Amino acid sequence: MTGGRARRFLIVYAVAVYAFLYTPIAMLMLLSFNDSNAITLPWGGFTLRWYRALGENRSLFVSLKNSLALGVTTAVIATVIGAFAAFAFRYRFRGQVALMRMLLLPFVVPGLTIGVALLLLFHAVGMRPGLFTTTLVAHVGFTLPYVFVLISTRLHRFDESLEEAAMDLGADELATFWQVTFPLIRPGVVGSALFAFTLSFDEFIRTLFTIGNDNTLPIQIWSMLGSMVSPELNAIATLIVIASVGLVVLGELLRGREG
Amino acid sequence: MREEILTRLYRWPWLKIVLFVVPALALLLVYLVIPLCMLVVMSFYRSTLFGIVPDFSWNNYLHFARNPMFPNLLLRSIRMALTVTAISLLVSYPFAYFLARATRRYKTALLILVMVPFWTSYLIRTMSWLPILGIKGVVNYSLMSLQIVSSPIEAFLFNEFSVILTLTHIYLPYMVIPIYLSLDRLDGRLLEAAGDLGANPARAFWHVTLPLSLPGVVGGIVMVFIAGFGAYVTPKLLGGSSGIMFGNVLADQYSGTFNWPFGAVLALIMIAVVFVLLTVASRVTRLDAVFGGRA
Amino acid sequence: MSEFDLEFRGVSKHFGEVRAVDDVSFQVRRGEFLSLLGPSGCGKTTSLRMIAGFERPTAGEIFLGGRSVGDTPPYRRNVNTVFQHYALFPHKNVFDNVAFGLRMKRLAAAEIAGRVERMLALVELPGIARRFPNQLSGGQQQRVALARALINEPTVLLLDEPLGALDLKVRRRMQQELKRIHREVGVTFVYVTHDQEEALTMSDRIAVMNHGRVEQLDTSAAIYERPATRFVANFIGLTNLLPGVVERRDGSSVVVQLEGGMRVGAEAPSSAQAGAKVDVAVRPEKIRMTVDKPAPGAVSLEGTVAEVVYQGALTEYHVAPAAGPPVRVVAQNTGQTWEAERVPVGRRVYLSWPDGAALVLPADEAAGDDA
Repeated sequence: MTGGRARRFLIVYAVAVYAFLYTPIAMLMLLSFNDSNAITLPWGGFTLRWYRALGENRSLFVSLKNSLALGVTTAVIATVIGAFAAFAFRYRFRGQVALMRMLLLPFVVPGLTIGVALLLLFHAVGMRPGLFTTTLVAHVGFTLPYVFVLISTRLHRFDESLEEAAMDLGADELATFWQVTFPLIRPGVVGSALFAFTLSFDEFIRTLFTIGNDNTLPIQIWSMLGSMVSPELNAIATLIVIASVGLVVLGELLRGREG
Repeated sequence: MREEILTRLYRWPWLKIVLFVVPALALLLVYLVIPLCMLVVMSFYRSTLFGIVPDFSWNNYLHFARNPMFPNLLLRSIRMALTVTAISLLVSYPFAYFLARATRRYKTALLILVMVPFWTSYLIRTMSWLPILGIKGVVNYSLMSLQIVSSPIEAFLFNEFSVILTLTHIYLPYMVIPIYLSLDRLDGRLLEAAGDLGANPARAFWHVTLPLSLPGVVGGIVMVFIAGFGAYVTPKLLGGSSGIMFGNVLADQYSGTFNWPFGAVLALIMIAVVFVLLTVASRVTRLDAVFGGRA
Repeated sequence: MSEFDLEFRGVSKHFGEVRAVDDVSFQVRRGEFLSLLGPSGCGKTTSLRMIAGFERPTAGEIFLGGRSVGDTPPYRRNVNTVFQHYALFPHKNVFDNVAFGLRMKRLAAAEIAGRVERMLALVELPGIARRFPNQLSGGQQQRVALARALINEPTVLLLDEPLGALDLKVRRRMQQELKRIHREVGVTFVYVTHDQEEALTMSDRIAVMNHGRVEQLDTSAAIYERPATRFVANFIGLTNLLPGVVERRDGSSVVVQLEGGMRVGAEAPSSAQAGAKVDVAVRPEKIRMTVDKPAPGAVSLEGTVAEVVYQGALTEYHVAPAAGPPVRVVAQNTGQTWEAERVPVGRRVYLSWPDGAALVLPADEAAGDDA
């Protein structure tokens, strides 16, 4: 089946799929340097003016700052809660399967319906929408299942006799965690947190329904898309893609490193 | 005090479990359970000129059923999501097969290349098709420079085609990754054994590879369908009026027409469709395994 | 303080329906080397884990140094464990691994350094303090694990099949080492193993476990010479079990009529009364096999040689009596050549053994011979 010709076909085919995946983004990046007021071809020469224009866009900076702060907060909280839950699943307890299903449920409920439902809830309890209240809840809830799965996968292959050894040598629960468990799962935890940050940083639909007067970067882009289509957008997108990819590759490398 | 706590924890190990579980449980209540209950409650309320009135009426559901526009839109969205899913599956299977058979040395890099778009904002990936498909877009520009067409083709953007193309582009990794994982887990010796037992490659594929990769295929179908069916950004941005989807009408109840109760009905219908799919899928394979559950 | 470092009083551990440890009671004296010996799943490791505190008994009490430790978590028990696969901390070097326990006690750095150095000298591992576990051989990891446990001066040192992962040669040497270290530090050792030879050579006493129960707890020699049950007789070394019926009782010994009609005398527990079905247990090396008919009264059995197995220093014969299972006999190869010395297949032979070498075991036992 993987004879010479079949193999060559597969390679050509794979290159085509990669091209499909990457061409639009690559084009976007290329066009972000295009010296033309249209967001598309023809090529009018190389320029950095769209990036310079970004520098003067105040509201863009504010939304970037909001997104960064929200992302970091989300990552920290989701990682702690997710790690806690992952630790629980090292034991056997009643309702385990039900809890697991519930933890994985957010994967299959469309984000749009969650956003709408959260809007109803916050409205009903009279909670004013805000970045670090309603949106934070939405983001932590959204990232929790990912963090949970990543960390429990890591814990699954953790040698528990190391923790027993630590306790045997006089380390109580906390000392065992800080001396033995955490140092060994740290790459996985940091990788998961980076991932949660990226998810939060890019999150749009749940944010749209829970955000108040502050904007996150995706919301800001969305509103820009609605009002004017400028090559500036290509420049923002390019920067975001580079930042996200950098973070995720870093996270993958961390998680991949055996620890 | 500390010793006291430690002794308690030792005597009742379940205390530790409770401690670990409570934060996640609390969050899930606020993020998922209570909001979904709110949807149900809201779906029975009444929307009037003076605001939303608590009630218990099936009017919102009847409104959906009586106005053919809504069921039609639902069916069209399902059909579009199914189309996206089918194309993704056809494109992904050979590709995932290629990844699974790739040399160990390149595998990680090839995989990261698939994951990268997966982790970049779908807003941006949707946006990236605008300069390509538009009337003055890259495709038309190229076609005209090559003198294949004389005037720009409008049919590329703001219709069902552009939505399906873009959704396929965005959610392809959702299909590739689970299929790859199930193919990668597949023991190469099984195929050798099949070959040994006289199966030609096609038969070995049909009887060994395909059934064993089924969980991945089902997982991919579920993920892509849910993402496609629940789409909002892509049809809103690239769909024009003919490419609009269920999610857009749902969202409009909250941003445009402010008919929250009816919006709740639409959201519940969206969730119901997903759960019908999940039920069917769980008949075919164990879904817990697909989503990484290890209870 | 009690004279016992460790005591089990009616200890049971159930995992759901499974009784991993079932009503076990025993006492271990200070400085003793006790082995828990048995097949996998017999409850020996569970017992050890209950001493360490990783499992909590379902019923019964465990005493360490005379104190009940039911609610004492592992880190407050003065016992230390050498784990089956060592469980060395991979992210800490040898020094930090060995110093771990002392650091938990918040001792001064200078004292820790001194004690770690002395401990590494005791286990004969000088000069590797800065290395990491993955840079060590199996034997070296074993010694580090031992040092890491012993440095805390535990009341009881628990060893969970510590030599299981080592190859035969290293294992033999480590057995000697462990004995030496045991003598030098004088700490009570509780040693879990499924290797009967290891248990026999190293222990002061052995507790033979099966199906969660202690079948017999005694010195190595007594376990071997006087097995209390069929299980013990079968699990430790080779033994012949000759079925028969008690004919009469004569003080502490009985006369048993074997299935072939021959009569033999044997040591018997008080429970074996006339008419009881029993097995007569005789170790193969206790049996004397002769070709010439010995003096009347000395013969216990006669039969024909069915098989001859050359084993180097020994020869094992399978002798088929008139009735019943074949009897194994082991003879030292003391002659000039084996060919001249061996008894050929088919030869009629006479088997005899000294008074007291045969032992009567009850024939029908629930805890069968699944060794």
